[in-house]
Amino acid sequence: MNVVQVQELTRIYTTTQGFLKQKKRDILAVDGVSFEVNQGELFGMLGPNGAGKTTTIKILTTLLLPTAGRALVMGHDISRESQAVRRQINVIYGGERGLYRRLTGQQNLLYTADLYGVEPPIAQKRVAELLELVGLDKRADERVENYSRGMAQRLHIARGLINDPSVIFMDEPTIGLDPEAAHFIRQRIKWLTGQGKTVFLTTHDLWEADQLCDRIAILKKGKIIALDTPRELRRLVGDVQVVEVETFGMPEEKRAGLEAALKTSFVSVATYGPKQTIAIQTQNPNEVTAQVQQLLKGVKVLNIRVREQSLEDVYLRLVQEDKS
Amino acid sequence: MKHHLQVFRAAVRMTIWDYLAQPMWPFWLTITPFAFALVAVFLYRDAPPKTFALYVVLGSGAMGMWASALGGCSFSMMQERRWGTIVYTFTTPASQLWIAAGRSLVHAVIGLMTLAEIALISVLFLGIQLTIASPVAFLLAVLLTILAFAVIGLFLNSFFMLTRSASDWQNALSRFLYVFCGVMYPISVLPDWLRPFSYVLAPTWSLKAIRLSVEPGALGNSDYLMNIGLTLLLTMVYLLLAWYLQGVTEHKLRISAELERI
Ligand SMILES: Nc1ncnc2c1ncn2[C@@H]1O[C@H](COP(=O)(O)OP(=O)(O)OP(=O)(O)O)[C@@H](O)[C@H]1O
Ligand SMILES: [Mg+2]
Repeated sequence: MNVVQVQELTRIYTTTQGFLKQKKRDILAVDGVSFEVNQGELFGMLGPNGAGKTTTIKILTTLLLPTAGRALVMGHDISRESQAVRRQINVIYGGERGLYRRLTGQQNLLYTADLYGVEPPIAQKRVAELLELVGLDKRADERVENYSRGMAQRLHIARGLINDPSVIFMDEPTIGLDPEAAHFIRQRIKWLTGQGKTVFLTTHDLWEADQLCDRIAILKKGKIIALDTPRELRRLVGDVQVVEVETFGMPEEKRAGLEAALKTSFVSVATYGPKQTIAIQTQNPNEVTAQVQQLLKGVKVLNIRVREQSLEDVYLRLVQEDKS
Repeated sequence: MKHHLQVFRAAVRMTIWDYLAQPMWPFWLTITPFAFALVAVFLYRDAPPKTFALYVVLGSGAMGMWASALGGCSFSMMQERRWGTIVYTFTTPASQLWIAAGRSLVHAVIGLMTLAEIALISVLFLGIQLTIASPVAFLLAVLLTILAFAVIGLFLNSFFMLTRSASDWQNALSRFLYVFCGVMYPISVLPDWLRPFSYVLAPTWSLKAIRLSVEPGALGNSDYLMNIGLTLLLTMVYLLLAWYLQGVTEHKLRISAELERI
């Protein structure tokens, strides 16, 4: 069964600026997107900042109306049957916002349970279980304003499960968390699909997406430019390997020279202080390795190796190659 | 309906939790009404004793109720925005109107507590004699006053949801309302062209009913009954308007995407 069905979904934001002479500006945030999410699937959406991921979530969770197109969640139209949709879903936006800061963790959950119409005896039991699930049972009686960011984000996970939703939308749930806290949340997300829940996830952590998602859509400027399993996405860019070179203090002109000389391969450079990591995606790693050594004469090369491509390599290539 | 009542109860409970969690609440409950009472005392120093009692107690009490009903509701909404909780509650199946109803009721009752407090201050320290000749009539009028104020909070909820500066608006609005509701003087002192504003405010009538209820035989007094009737009628009208406006507002917000703006 398709839990989420999206057809040609489009959203335009109209903003006005100025006081007396109002200037209107339209921003096309989501541009005719179509996809489906299956029951029990962990569906990921990736894409650069401003690609339209959050907007998609806001439409699917009935916070916003689409400008055009149609979407069904659990078989209900998000525009015309929002109440029916709301009963079966929940949403978690990353970050600490969205909690009653003067109330305790437990009070926050009890209030949300009532808003979702959870029967009070069930709510009592569920609140206790969820607090334990997210490891906040010991601090449940403390005000949220005293929570650390990680604790607030964990409370959000509990809040998002309070109505036992069939579909959970998560917008960057691990943003800004330390590795251990992020790991904790990832575990819980994985656990959810084990419970038969459908999860719609956005993230900028490609490793996380690779680990968790059954299928991934890559969004760019409001359009889906790729949609497949992580494995198939890798295949999409061909049977390539990555030559990774770490250099120290590589001058800018060398970099340009490298990109020009290797134009048949996809080159990306990441800079970490005085160090650079150059990743070259190629079908002929040996040839490229020799070429690079030649080209980088005079530059301090710390390390050079050939590795399998990661989802990040694939992502960068798809997003940067697509010139639309 | 069962879900609506659950939401309503939850909103009442949550508003109380949040009110009591604020360090300033004892101050709001004591100093503010005291200040209102003081203003009224000076204003009516030279008035005959009966007028004095009514206007000091009722006038400053009503001011406290306006301040609480409007201030409380707009503040709650500002806070929902600032904390980003409105974005979450908006997409729950709960009706925003029932949430607002719970909130408004709490703020109206808190307002009433200031009125009671002012009455107490007046009797104990200002030597004002308060006799309520028809307790039943008085109680009815007081209950309707709570309702009248709560419904105005409800009516304004959609407006507070739409604006990013709910608190500024309520500030401007409440000054305006002090004047129109005749809290410190009978509205007959207002120029004719201003009076219609007063007539459409439900508390104008319920406060008048309270004033009349201190006299004997109020329940049989047609003037009293008319004021009660008008309060009920206007309350119904406000409810209908609130319900209609809320639907329009929510639709508008889903298009304008303004709800997340702070
Ligand atoms: N309320 C709004 N009003 C006007 N424009 C908006 C609004 N919200 C988002 N936008 C614009 O819509 C586009 C898509 O934004 P969106 O937040 O959906 O992107 P995103 O993919 O979630 O980005 P990020 O990775 O940075 O979270 C952007 O150009 C953004 O500026
Ligand atoms: Mg986003």
